[in-house]
Amino acid sequence: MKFVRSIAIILALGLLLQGCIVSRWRVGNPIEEESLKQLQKGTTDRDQVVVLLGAPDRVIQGNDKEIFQYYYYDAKSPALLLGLLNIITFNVKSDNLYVFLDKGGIVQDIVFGKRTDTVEFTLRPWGK
Amino acid sequence: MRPWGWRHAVIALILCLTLSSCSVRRVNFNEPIAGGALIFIKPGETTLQEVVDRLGAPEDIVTTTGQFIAEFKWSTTRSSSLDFGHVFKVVSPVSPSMTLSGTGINVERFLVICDDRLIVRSYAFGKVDEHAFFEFWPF
Repeated sequence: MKFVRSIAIILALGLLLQGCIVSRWRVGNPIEEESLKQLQKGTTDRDQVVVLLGAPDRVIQGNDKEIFQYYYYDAKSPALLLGLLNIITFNVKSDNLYVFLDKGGIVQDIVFGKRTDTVEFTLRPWGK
Repeated sequence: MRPWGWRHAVIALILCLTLSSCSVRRVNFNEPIAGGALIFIKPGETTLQEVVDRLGAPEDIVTTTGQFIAEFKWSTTRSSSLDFGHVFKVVSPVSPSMTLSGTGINVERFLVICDDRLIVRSYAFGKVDEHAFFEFWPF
């Protein structure tokens, strides 16, 4: 009887979850906040930035400054392929870090914003 | 089965086969920024980091003479398709593709102009495109 019940539960779960897809996509490396704490405005130089954070994903130049940009994208994608109707949602959020270096290669400013900790597996194709 | 019953059954079967090729897709990139969320910005006082703490980081920073322009970007992409070719599965082992499909990409921007000390001088929203929720009809 117990065996039959287990089989029934597995079958029921299989039927309920069929066509359900959950996937995750990531681009780049997460920006470590511990490494960010070690960056000191006015003292940390370009080489130390690279040692702590790795090579930047992009370098922007202008106004006698060099800006190292680091980014990380996180996407969560639930999908429901019901047969009658197929719904696929892809939720993407980004983290970006900008390290401003002066002419001498010393850190002048740091701008960092994190959104990826709020990405959700929300299956909602409607709404704003 | 009465004739009316057969007709219902055939209509239901065709509807099921047609709808089985109905797909709705949506891609959300970052959270939208609403105008009401910007009342804290005071040009000449607020720093870029204070803006970033509330809104997240910009996707891009470009430089102009003596200024930095931070570009915040978010988008919603909606795509839907309906393949009528599936109806032919009733009578044919091969179903031709007869798809109506539409995709609408709404990319929105918010620009913050800062001086070389990263203090906000002004800000502006980009123009908004509005696409329909479902865009099956491509014509």
